[in-house]
Amino acid sequence: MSALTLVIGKGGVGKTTVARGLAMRAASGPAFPLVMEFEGDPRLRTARPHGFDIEVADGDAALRSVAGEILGSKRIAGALLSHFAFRRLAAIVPGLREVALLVVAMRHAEAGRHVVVDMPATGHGIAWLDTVRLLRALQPAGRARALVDGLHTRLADRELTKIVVVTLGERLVMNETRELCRALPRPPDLVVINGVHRPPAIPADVLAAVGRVPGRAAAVASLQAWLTPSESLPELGDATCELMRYPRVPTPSEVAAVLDREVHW
Amino acid sequence: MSPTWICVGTGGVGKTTVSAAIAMAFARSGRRSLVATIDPARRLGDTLGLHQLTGPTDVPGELGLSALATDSNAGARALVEELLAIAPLHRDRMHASPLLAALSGGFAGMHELVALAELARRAPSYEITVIDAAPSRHAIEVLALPRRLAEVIDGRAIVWLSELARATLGPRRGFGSRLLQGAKHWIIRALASSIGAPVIDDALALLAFAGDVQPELSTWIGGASRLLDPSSARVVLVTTAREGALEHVDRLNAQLAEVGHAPALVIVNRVPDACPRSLATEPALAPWTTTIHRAAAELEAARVATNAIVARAATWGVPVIQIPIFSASDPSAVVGRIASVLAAAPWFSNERGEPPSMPAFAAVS
Repeated sequence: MSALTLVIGKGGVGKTTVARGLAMRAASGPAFPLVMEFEGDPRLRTARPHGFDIEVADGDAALRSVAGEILGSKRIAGALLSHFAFRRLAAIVPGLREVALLVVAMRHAEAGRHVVVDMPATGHGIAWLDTVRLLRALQPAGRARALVDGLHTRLADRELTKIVVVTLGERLVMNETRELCRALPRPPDLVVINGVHRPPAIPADVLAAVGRVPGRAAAVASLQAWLTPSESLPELGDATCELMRYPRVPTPSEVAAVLDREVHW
Repeated sequence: MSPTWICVGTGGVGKTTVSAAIAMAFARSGRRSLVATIDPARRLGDTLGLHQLTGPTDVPGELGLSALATDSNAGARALVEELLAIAPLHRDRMHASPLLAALSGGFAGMHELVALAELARRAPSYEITVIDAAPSRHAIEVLALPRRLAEVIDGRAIVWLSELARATLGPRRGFGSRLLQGAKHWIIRALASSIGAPVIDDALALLAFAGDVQPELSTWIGGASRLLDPSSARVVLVTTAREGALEHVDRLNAQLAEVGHAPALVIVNRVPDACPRSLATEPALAPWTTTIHRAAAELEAARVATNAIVARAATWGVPVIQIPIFSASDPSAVVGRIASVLAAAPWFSNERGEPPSMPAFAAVS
């Protein structure tokens, strides 16, 4: 079982639920799972309600820790990052915090945790992975090189890292997801299509008849809108899995059950 | 200067559609409007039915409405060339700089910055500018980015850094002597040994270049900064009617406050207008009672969430506009219908400083 899972996709598609579902699924394994999230209350460092930890990522802390690792001294790193000019410089160099967070996730995984990273929304999520490639292109030396290479190797290795793309069963969102998948350094290991809506069909003539009853038209119209099923969607990859919205939005444990059925890694 | 409208919200709430609709509503009232996306996920073109969207593009059938998605890679390259024309001594070094190539090639956050600067240049040709920001947390960071950059470029930080760079990178000094120079620069030595001297040299050369073109960089960032300044920018908080929406709204509001902004308008998208629960008693629909109850529960929860947001916005003294659920196979038709709802809202006539009236250009739908 892989120890680092990156969950990516645009905002609002249910990445957090899928990430937590993946962690719950892993909870029966030997490593205690950890979900790293980027939004939300940093106080939410949990009471392990479902057999996994949640950590709300702190970019500055990650940067300090990784800078300490590179410079071989937490003291030098601390001095550097609190120097007035370098502090401001570090605040504007894009992608620095993000890569530091990936390194922290990797370190947790190396320490035997099963880490699920709930990555920031699309575009940004991709740029983040891309930053690793760009950092390598700078050809650093010493500890920085070892670190960036280690990260690259881990992300490229399908055994060590799983990439899970989450999307919605809507045409526009799917188009974006297709672009996202193309921009990834390698095809995703799983595409989760969330919020797929396939309610039972009510015959149009039955609805139309009820709609003609005085005072019923508005209610029928809103029911009809709600009954519109998700479009059938083009194939996005080898491994896809649909999460249904009917009969109800799945809880993380139901997501875990679906993933358990569909995922074989 | 007319305000810039910035739409923020979690992903998937219809932010792009709402941004386009705001610009369309203003355009129909006779104001030249631009809707621009700074989200690298390029949805704006699809939403307005435009196949190609690079430079500012007129939206067919909508007088006075243009859309813009910037090509950040080309924008960054153009900026670098512009700056190199001012400080040509840096040209060879910068053209060979892997760091600069990486930075202008789309490091996280760079896309938005270049897009904003480009937009700042174009905004004066329009009466209304609407920005479709990237999702949520990141959008908020983008709001603060120009200011953080300005802190480096306008403050003593750039002076200190570029002096350090020039002292370390003297033209006739050998590599070794550079690294050993001065106990004051122990930081450079530490960085060089653990990151690699060539990377550090490259970074220093870039800083020296930035120091030499500081006034121009400052102007460039100043444009983006002014565009997003809390005194001229109006933040539109976009959300959808669904369970948990109030939490998102509160979180966004708190994040906005961190960077000195407050919402000027809240838009609740996809608000259901009727509940089908009463249909469960219809004999003809008896086989589908469970389905009807499920639909009703979902739509009622959406209604409850909407009411909670309306109440919250009232405590902030911020107007709320509710957008009903519009379903159409053509996304641009949905934009048009939302624009009509916006134009009919009291907020819109207040914005225009005129009594409520029919839009000057009626929608053809």
